[in-house]
Amino acid sequence: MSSCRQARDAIIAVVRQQATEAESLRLEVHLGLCASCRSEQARWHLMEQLRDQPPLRLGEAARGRVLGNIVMFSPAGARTRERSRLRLAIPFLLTTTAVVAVAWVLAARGWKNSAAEPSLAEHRNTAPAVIQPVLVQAQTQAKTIDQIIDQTIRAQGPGTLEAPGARIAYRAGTSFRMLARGRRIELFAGEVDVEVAPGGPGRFRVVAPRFIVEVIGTRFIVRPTGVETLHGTVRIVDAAGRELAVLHAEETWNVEQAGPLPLALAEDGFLPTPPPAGSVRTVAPALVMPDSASASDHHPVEGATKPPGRNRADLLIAEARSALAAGDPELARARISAALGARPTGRQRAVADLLAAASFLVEGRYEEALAAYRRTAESFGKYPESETAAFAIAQLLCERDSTDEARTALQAYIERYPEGRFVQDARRKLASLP
Amino acid sequence: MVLHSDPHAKSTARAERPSWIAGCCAGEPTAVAAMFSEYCETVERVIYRLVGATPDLEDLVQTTFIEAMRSIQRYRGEASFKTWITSIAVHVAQHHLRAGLMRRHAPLDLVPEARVASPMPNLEVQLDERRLSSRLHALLDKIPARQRIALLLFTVDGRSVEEVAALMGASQSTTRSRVFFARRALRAKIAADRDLAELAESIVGCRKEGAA
Repeated sequence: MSSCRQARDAIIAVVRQQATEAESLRLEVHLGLCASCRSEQARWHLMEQLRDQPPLRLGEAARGRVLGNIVMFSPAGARTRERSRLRLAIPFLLTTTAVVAVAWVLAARGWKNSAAEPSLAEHRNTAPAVIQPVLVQAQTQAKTIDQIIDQTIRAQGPGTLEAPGARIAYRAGTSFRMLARGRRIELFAGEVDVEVAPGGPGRFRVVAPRFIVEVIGTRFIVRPTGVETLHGTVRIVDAAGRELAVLHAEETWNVEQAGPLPLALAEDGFLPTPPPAGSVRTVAPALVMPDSASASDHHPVEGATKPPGRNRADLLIAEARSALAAGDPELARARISAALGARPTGRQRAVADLLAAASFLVEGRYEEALAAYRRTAESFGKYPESETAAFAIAQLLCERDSTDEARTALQAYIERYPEGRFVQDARRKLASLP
Repeated sequence: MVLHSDPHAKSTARAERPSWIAGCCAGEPTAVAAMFSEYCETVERVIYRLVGATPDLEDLVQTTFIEAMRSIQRYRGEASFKTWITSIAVHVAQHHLRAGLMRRHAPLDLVPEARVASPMPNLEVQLDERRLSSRLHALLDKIPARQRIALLLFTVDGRSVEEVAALMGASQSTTRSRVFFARRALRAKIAADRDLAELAESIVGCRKEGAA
């Protein structure tokens, strides 16, 4: 082999397993004489690692999902969907016709029906109207929230519903379904105006066909095509729980900004459950105190101005950190609670949750700290705080001598964060476990 | 795009046109399932090679097959179906890489059955290998997507320049140029990464111990 250039080509050929015996022999001779090419060969051996590693594969469940979607998008699937739509459309049209006919007869008898229907904006400023949603499926009328839970409703006229901790105003033609004891609405068509009191029983959600709105104590309007926040803050996520936007007062968001999204409605429980923003019983680490939560790494809303509350949340989180450093976990949690009420970004919520968990640790409330870490690890996967929480869980379990759980947690951490900040520590701990 | 990976295979591929192609064109679920079961592994492997461990694997595999179903009417059998669907997977991976939305961890439910079943030397080596692979992909992330794909198809998959060019829809000279620049960039990045060298040495050491 006459030159290093030829030797380097031969090295690549060896990596590709396409070198002849003669080439390999010539390369060996050259490598015996040339240190530079020996280092080059060592570098390219790394590429063999990529070749030799067995590829990751989808599990059976994932393959089933993919196949189902492919069939759905195939030409026959499209025809099936069309037939399904027709099958649904015929009874729907018949029902609608019947409902319209009944309404017309009632109006003819002198009922003062709304000839000029007020817009939702006008409706918001009026007293709650009589609630008389028409149940499409049952063809009966319901007057209380309990009677309409889990039923698909198509409203003939505007009205309001009083749910636990929330008031929902709807306009004529709105089609929706109330679930989860009135704390979740699936919106199919039309428009709902939702006012949610902070600190209600559990998180309030509105599930539209292409996105989900999570409410953090606010008032807002949801249409299948977008969201308008009147006051307070809402978080918009997709069916996989990924945050699409955080909307503050007077901001609007359109579904087109989110790009292609899964069309299927999500089932109950698909979303991660971040801690309720109003009641801070959460999170975080004695490991690493997050330096700053000012990173506005939630998806910004196009055209939206930066809300003034973000700086306030930063300030409150800093105060919480100082309080914790001064050994006052209760004051820290009070500051965290205030921060979570001050329109925090996703990152700020993650930092606040970690601090809250640390405050539990300081008080020796290990179970609550552990639960808080788990929530952070699961709910804020895209932020570094999630990694910190994941390792904190493992560390806490090690300290509490829960060997099996600690091993599982450490392996899960290493698996998920192979280049993580604590991976060396995790491996050491794993090796030291009995 | 017409693929000529093997000039002699042209007439053979036409003759051996899979029976389920017509069914797929008509959208018959059984034909689609047959096609999926036959080529799912191929697509998974190609995407994993090019993109690395990512939680988006399922999405990418699905996108590849949906794109294949959309354009299956245009498949004329001038290349084998495997080559044809591989080229779609390459384009899907390329689009994904160029979008710059890489997520570098693999979800736990993607751990392969094959890997779990295969005998591993020990946990330490397994972790080192995974970490090494992940680090290499992190370095590859810094190389332009087209160069990266050309390099991986050429070096890791062992394909010829002609095949890589056909799969990427580029000329052979462009492909050579991409491989050259990718090699140069990767060499510099590997040389600057001491941790990578230590990991490689560790793996080699463990393997030697295991062999002894």
